[in-house]
Amino acid sequence: MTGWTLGPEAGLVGFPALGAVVLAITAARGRRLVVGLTLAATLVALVMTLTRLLSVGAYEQDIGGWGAPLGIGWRIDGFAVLMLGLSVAVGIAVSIYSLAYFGDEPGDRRRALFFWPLWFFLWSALHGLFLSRDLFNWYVTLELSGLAAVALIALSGRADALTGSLRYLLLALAASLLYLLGVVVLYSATGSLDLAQVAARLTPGPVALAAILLITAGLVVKSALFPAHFWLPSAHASAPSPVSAVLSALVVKGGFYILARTMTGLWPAAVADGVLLGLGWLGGAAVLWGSLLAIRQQHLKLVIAYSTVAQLGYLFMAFPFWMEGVGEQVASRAWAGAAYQAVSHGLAKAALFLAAGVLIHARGRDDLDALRGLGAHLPVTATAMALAGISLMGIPPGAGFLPKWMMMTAAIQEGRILPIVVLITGGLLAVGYLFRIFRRLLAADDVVLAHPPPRILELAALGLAILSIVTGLSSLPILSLLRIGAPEGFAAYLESVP
Amino acid sequence: MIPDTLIPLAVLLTSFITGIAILLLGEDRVRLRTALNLTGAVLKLVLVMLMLWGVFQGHAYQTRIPFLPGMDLVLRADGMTILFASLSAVLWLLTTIYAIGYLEGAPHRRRFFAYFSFCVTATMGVSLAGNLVTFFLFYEVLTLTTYPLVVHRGTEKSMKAGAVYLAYTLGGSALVLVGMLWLYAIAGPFDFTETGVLGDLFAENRIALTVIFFLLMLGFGVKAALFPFHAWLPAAMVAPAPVSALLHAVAVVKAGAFGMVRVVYDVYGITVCDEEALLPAFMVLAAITILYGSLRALAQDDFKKRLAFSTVSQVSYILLGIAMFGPMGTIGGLVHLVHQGIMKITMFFCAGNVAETLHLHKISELKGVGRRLPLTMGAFTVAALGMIGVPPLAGFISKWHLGLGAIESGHPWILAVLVASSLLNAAYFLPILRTVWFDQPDSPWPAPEGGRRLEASWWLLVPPLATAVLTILVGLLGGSVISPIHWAYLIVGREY
Amino acid sequence: MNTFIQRCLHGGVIAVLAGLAILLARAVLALDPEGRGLADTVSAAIPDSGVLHPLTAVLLNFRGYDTLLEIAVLLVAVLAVWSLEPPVAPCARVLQEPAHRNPVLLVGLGVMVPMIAMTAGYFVWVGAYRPGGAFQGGALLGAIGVMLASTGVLPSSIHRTIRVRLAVAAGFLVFLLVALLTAGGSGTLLTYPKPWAGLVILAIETALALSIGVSLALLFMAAADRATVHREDAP
Repeated sequence: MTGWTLGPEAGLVGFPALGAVVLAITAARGRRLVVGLTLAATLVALVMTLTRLLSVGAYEQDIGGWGAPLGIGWRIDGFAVLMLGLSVAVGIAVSIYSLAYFGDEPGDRRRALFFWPLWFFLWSALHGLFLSRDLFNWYVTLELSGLAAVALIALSGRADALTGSLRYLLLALAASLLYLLGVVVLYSATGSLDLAQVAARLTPGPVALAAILLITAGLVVKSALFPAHFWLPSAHASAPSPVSAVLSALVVKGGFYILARTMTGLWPAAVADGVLLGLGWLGGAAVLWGSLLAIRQQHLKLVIAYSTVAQLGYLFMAFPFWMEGVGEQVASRAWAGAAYQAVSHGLAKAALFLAAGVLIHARGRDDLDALRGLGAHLPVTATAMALAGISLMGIPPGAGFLPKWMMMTAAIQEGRILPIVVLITGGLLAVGYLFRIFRRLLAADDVVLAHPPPRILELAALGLAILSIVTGLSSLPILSLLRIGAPEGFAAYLESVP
Repeated sequence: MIPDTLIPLAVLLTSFITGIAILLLGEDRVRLRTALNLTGAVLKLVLVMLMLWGVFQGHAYQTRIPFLPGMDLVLRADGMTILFASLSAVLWLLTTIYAIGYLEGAPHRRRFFAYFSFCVTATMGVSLAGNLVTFFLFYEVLTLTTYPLVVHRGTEKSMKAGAVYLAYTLGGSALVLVGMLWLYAIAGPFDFTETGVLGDLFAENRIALTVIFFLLMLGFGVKAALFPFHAWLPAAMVAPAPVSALLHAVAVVKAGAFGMVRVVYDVYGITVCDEEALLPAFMVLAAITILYGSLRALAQDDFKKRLAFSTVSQVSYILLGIAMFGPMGTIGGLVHLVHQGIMKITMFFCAGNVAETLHLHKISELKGVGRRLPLTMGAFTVAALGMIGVPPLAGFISKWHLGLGAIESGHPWILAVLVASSLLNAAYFLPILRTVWFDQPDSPWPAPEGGRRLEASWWLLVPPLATAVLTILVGLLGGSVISPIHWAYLIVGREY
Repeated sequence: MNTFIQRCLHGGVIAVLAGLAILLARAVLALDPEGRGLADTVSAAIPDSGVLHPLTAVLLNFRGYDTLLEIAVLLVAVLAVWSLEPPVAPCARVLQEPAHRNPVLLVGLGVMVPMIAMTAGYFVWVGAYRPGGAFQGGALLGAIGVMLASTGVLPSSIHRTIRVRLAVAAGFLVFLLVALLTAGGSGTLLTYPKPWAGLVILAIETALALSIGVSLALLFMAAADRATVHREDAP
């Protein structure tokens, strides 16, 4: 034992869940108070978890005190806390935004009634996912977050939202089943659900092959990797804007996170290499295809949603560098790059969706031409979009530059040209689709705002956007956090961080 | 006093904080905004002069901020920094004054001045950058912060120009990024160093480093409006006059040219470049651009377009000087970085005055304008004569050194290019002067508004007069310590 | 052209799934038929779990955290269904004739409801020793709800009262509070103090049974509502 008696990380799952259930019971009464307390408590839990991590290094928690294989285990390391940090940052901004977003109209009131418990359950489930190292527990967290997400998408009540959410529900269900099948196979073969124990007992062969394909296929659909991305744009674009922000910034990262965890410590190299390479190719295709489709969209939120398809591709482009025989320096750069991309995209994309929500709210429509001349009326929102855009385009000092730099240096050390071409083309295409938004914001048209948006909406978006620049200039603390408990064979690049 | 390590950062902050403060202020807080703008600009100028004095005394100013493992952001002042930074600081102050007058009563001034400040912050960053990655960072920020200025008017035409601008400059940046990445893979992280950092590495990676050299030079060449990547510059003429001044003189094209200077002298080293025969291709490209720009300028009737093509031509003098091996050529190129800025900004101020007070945009409409705007046109005349290369004005100093450099480096054909270019300069500037001073106007010019005694407001008159005086002074006082030519000599002493 | 692409896509998806199925079959054949998973480990740990039945031990103790999240899934499902409800829901009219006008139904209900409730309680209690527990008990409670709703005794707008919402959420709330308190006390979630483990589990099971029952009944009512609405729209 380490001398700590309190388990602060439990609060990251527990407090949002507590907030959710209290809000489900009390409905609108005392909502601001409950939300405020939940946010504060979750933030405190994060800070305490971080403090504990920094003082004792990566640590594990056995829930119920049983330990694997009987019980469920958590593993708290740098990667987990980084993702938790992203989730808490985005979560707090989205919550503050949502307090003002759902107004006093009857429809809005009803939506708010369900938004809060569903969103806090989603938040809680994501934190559970980031903490876990148990294959079945991941399935449960995926189910909980998936179901809450489906309900949240449908909240807007629009016909396309219902279609989108239903499509998402069916696909998520199918994906979960594939994943669960893989887990069952693994459990039957190894008698454990704990990541480390399964890894130690798994041998290359048909069992491992079937399991990796089933689990990866399930997670690929969950994280909307090309060509399984088709459910994402309609679902993310038709949801209420704070929900879109959460879906694009956090929920799709859940699938990626589990994939990254399993790919850096579960599979024998003999079965993993082909899968890693395949994921890389799909990632590259996602970058190009998603960007091209984003350029063709006529609606603001669809542009941003297709941009998510593209940006997710970068995450998977890191995978081929984890193959057997690649130098540790390179693998480590690519791993850090993928983790960094998850964070930088999360912050920037959430900011972009929140800002889009402000613009749509102000104008009452969401086609691109409705944006003409809005920049002059809503300079704060326009600034938020610009800053988030810099990060998404991968231009320094935006945070999106750093993961690209890490991956490009990894590629050049391995002598691979294709990833560099894709990374740079992807950046230029991102300029293409984002400036379709910016140029309209800067146009000289005179517009009349349908509803002047509350100031706090603009500030929540701006806060995240600024954070996406700050993380672009503070890589060392983030990388040194990532170093704590980095998987074996992925630390070399991080060792040089002071 | 501010410690030496913080001065480079402070130079950036003077305009960055100004920009933020302007964004936070309301659109209608004109007086406070003007005060902020001028305070920021003056403060920056003071700091840059402080650094100038310090560097002259042998002080080292350096700020290091960790960026990535093994890679820092470095801001520091060396001779070249001072050359570029003092040019930008002086011209920014003047352009700010001009812009305040020019945009009086125009919409969206908050956005304009905020991005104007960010733009100059980025330019200062480019000049202070102590390594390639820092340079790249500010170079990209410069591209992005200039965009809202280029499309400031918000019309369809300016949107198109903005798209062209982005396509060209970001395309160029992509080349630079690839080159930089590859270079770091071969050479590891390095800072800009006088006489270069590659040394023996070149012989070991000849092909790769040659390709990288072309990637970097062509990438920077896009912003320097090198033929055939120049088309964005004339298109960007739709922007308001102060923005044109910024693009042509203070910041954007200069950043491209400065990037080429850094690559040749402080990354590869001029000796390596010469030994490995990397330069002749660029000498030829510069010569082509010089002649092509001048020829295109001849054909333009639009006043600002003629000036734009003239810039295409004139900026390539800088590359020409860099590409010639030999101290004289280098001096000519470096000093032209400053001289071209001073002369060209004068011309844009004047063109802006003509457009603002009389709403004239075509050269054929300028008949007799000299009588209505004598001070403006006087300044223009000085600048035009300087561009042509009339002694003892600024342009003459540049061309003289370039000519000496051509002979020194054994490329006498360059002389022919210089002569041809000067003739072309004369051919497209002198007719303007004739029209302006000697032609009779078709109808009498309207009197100044409100019975003012002056031809235009002080805000619009002081900047062009000041730069016109500078055009004369940098030529006349070439021997003084703070003259650009003196600094160029100083730098060259360290590079060879 | 589009249909061609769609066909290709469908073909591709089918091919991928077929491939996965074949792989899965191979993997299953390769598994050790004698493998017993964790059955032995579970039996060995039973004495420490506070209950005697392995299923209850796994669900409420060893992997109680999974169950906690599953209960949240149930709660989210109820919320999701409510959130889709048409804003003004008519009362459940599955029966044309409300029960209070039908003495036979009323008497029947009067007999059956207490009996089923008692059985449900028994199931929860007995879960510690033999098959049973919150899920079985909850299902029976749900059946009571279905009976009451379909006879019109319960109005379908019932969730608007805080008591019903409290009943739906109680199971999760109790479970979560136990989890958080144990986290505060012992450092990890759901580490029950040994002597109290049985009692704590019983308390959780009771609350869970209540909530599961109410949730199931409410889900049924929402579905029935929708059916009614659609029938009325039809003609």
